[in-house]
Amino acid sequence: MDLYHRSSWCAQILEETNVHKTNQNMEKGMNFFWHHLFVVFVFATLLSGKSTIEVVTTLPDLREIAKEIGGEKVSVFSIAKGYQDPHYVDAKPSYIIKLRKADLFIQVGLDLEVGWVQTLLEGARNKKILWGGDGYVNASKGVTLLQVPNIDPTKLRAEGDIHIYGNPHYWLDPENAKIIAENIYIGLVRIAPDDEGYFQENKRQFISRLDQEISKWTLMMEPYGGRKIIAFHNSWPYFENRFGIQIAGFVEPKVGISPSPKHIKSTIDSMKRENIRIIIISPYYSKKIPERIAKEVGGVVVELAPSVEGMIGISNYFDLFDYNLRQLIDAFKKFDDEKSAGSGD
Amino acid sequence: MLIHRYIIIFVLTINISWGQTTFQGMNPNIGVIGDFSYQIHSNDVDLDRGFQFSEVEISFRMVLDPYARADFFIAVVPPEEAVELEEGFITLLSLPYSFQARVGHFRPSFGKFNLTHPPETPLATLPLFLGNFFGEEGLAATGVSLSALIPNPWDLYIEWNIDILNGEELASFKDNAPEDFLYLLHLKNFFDVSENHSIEFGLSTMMTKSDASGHETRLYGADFIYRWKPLIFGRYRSFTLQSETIISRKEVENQNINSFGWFLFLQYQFSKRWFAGSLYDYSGLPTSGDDVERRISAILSFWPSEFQTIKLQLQKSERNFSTPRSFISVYFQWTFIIGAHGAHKF
Repeated sequence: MDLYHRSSWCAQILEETNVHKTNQNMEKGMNFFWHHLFVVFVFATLLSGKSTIEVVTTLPDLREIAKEIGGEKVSVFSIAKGYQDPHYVDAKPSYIIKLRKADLFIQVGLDLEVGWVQTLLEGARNKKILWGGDGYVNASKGVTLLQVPNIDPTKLRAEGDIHIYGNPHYWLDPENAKIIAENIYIGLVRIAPDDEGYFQENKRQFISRLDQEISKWTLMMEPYGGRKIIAFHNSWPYFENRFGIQIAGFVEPKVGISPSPKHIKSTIDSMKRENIRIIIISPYYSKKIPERIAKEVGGVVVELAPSVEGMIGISNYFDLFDYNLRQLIDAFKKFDDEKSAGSGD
Repeated sequence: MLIHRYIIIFVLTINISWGQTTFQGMNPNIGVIGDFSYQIHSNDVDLDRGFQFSEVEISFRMVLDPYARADFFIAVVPPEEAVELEEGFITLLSLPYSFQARVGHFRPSFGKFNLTHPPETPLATLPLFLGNFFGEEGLAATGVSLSALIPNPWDLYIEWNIDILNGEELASFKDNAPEDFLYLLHLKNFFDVSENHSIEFGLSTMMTKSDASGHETRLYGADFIYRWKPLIFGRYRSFTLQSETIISRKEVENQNINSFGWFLFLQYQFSKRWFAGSLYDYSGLPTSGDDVERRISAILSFWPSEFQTIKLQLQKSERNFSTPRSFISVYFQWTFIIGAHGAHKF
């Protein structure tokens, strides 16, 4: 065998060895890959084995009340964020994935979520939480509704985008949280009857704390009973009723309708006439027009949280009222101080 | 046609009279959409001109029983006063293993744009390929559809659906026999990039026999949407980029006809009630490998409320298969809805 052939033979051996090694390495690599993929799937399957009740709510307020009643037996998720307009939530398919695994679904109802809940619930292909299923809860059951329109349904939309069953922002009265808690409790017991005692005790504790807080909040607001304010959107009748303030008008001329220059002028005129200096607004509305009005009347725009998480620092249902009432009281005090300083001069 | 009209009047009368009695709660959700438009074109093209009442769309929607819901969309199209069943289907909601099925006449999931009824799209005209490959109103067919979500450890939204349809009324398949079914497979994927950004993409394929000799027609499609919508100010600002493409391979005697279409649509919402958009649109014809047309459009939309939309669309069109080769069009469209306005698809 000459040198050329020998080297070519050696090269062939080397090449074959390398190929063999490469094949072995590839085989090892593939084994490693499949092994790890298998482990990932096993873990994923094990992790998906549920030990808690999966609760999905439309709003974070319902999520927080569900957490109070369900305690450690539930894991909770809210579709809408507290700083998002709950009327206009996009029915994203990623929410469908959450609902597909849910054991309990809780919604505000009264058509608040009419633009998005149906798409999500039907897309989830989860019989348990469909309307009429054991895992479906409409939290409004039993709530005394305000502003139920008493007009011919064919003329309803002349009043803007109003809700045919009544104003749906009922969670903004803490007394209604007791009814919401009861509805959630009934739903939880339906799907986990063995834990009835646990849920009942949690509900008792929640309502007991709520009673204490309501007494505290009522006392805080007592000096400001009957004070007039303006709201941007008609989200606050339950809050107004509970805490004795008076919403004398809205920046929106009709529900959901943008204000015309004429309406802005008439709002400014009535605020001046009645000495109203405060405009309340939720964080998801543009503050441009309310700030213009406030400037004209020497007033202030106060951002209130319509829901838990609506503003930084509001992480549970009790924080919601602590925050909103503190904001309102600070604004009332500021104008009272200005007034007394003015009269002192 | 007269009989059709009497049927609609009868159904509405029954509904209204029931509505006034104890059956009100049993009425389905009824919605009526009016689609009014005005259009002018720079040259003598074979398109409608002047004022048009393009259609009145009447919808009836209701949960049927604990297992299903039913949806009907009926269009009355002037001036012929033709009554067309746009969609009429039952959706089975409680099948085992999380399957969902749809049976009837419906808009199948070939791409994304096709799923929206023409008066409710952000455009005054449909993208060219929907008209050229399927029909004036896009793709709607009679048959069955089965869909399911694909479970995965990453909790991603992956949905497949398979449809078996009659396709003889569609432009791409009009030579096939009624017994030659159309098979459609669609895969939809959705990702939340972050709270404010999302991406959706889908793949579609459709096949059937083109004629009695057993030749096949295959369509392939891809769709993509990127959306930006800030959660906190989503009612004031948003941006959408949407693109879809279709590839057609039609076997005829001794050759294949390959054709292609696609569009790119951009839309920016710059205030609560105003949207500006642009569309680039290109399409061949399923029956010719050489004929193509393309358009470029600018669209301005105004929403006085969520129950009416006013659109102005300026459009330059070019095509190589008929005269005039190039023309400019202006569309003014006003759509309005009364009655039920149900949940929006995302």
